[in-house]
Amino acid sequence: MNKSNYTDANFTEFYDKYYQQVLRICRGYVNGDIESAKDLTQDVFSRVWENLDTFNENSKISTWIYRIAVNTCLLYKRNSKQDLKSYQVHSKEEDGNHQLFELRMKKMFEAINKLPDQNKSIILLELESLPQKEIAKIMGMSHSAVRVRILRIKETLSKLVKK
Amino acid sequence: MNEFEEFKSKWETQDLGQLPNFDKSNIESNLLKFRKEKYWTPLILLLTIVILLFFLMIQPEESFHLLKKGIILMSVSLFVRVLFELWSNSMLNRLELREAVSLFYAKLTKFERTRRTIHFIITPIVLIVYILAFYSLLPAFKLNLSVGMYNYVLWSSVVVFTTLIVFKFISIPRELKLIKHLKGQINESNFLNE
Repeated sequence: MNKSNYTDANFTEFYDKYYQQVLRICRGYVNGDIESAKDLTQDVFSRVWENLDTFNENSKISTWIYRIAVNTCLLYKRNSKQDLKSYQVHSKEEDGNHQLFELRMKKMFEAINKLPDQNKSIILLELESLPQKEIAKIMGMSHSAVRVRILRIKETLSKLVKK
Repeated sequence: MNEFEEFKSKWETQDLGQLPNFDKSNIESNLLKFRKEKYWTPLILLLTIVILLFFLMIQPEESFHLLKKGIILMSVSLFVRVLFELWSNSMLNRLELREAVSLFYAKLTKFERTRRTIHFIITPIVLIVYILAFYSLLPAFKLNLSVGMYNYVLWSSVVVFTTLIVFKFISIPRELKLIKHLKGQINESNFLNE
């Protein structure tokens, strides 16, 4: 497909397919706050729309969208004038398991938030279960560097959550 | 299963609500907002320069040499600030969101350093030169304006300049926080790359 052939229909297809994944990644940059993450996701898809003409099929569309998503999040973090909101625990009083899960989510988002920007990006992509080779392409790093980093970040996160 | 693996197993089951419909108008207004944001500062400064130059042109030939020098100095200081702002905007425009993250991040960090230099060094210098140039005009104002108008110009300038300086000071803690964050990121990254 020629790059100029991308249409509204193509965009809608990408939007429907990747919205949830992008929203989860964005959530990792805003300490789990869902409303901020939705605004940020809207920004990401605006950027995808803006750049759609420049997409060439040398890379996968998913790699291309994730790059835009991560870079938009990094840009947002730098420009944001407000402090991050803390994760809102949505607990149903009668459900103890759910409450525990929500508290763990809060702790994990806080731990992710403490990571350096690039490591945060790597681990959020890992959470999306992307193959490490694709993470390497998104990040512009070697596969081995990504593999080593993921191991270290997992250790760091586990320590941070246990604290 | 450790904490991370447990978190990962629940990651895709997060309750994120309904998928909102694709709204083209929303996206277009978003893009317009991104473009507008970048051009406010240079536009306001350029407008001030135009007003100053217009004021300079309507001065009679024989008017105070000092008056013309003051206005030119004010315009030049603002023009310097505009040039730096445009330079910073062009750096921002060169950031390609579709680039590999590590490359984008390196450019973003460089851009942030430039912004800090503009905020902490260039802007205060421009502000000082502008204020000094303005106050060098006061003798001319005193000669040419009525007492009431002169007092209005004098005191309103005190209010405007004080507000500008206070705003600048208010933004310093945030800027310092960002610099600290930036340094932390670089140190942490070096540590993890070892």
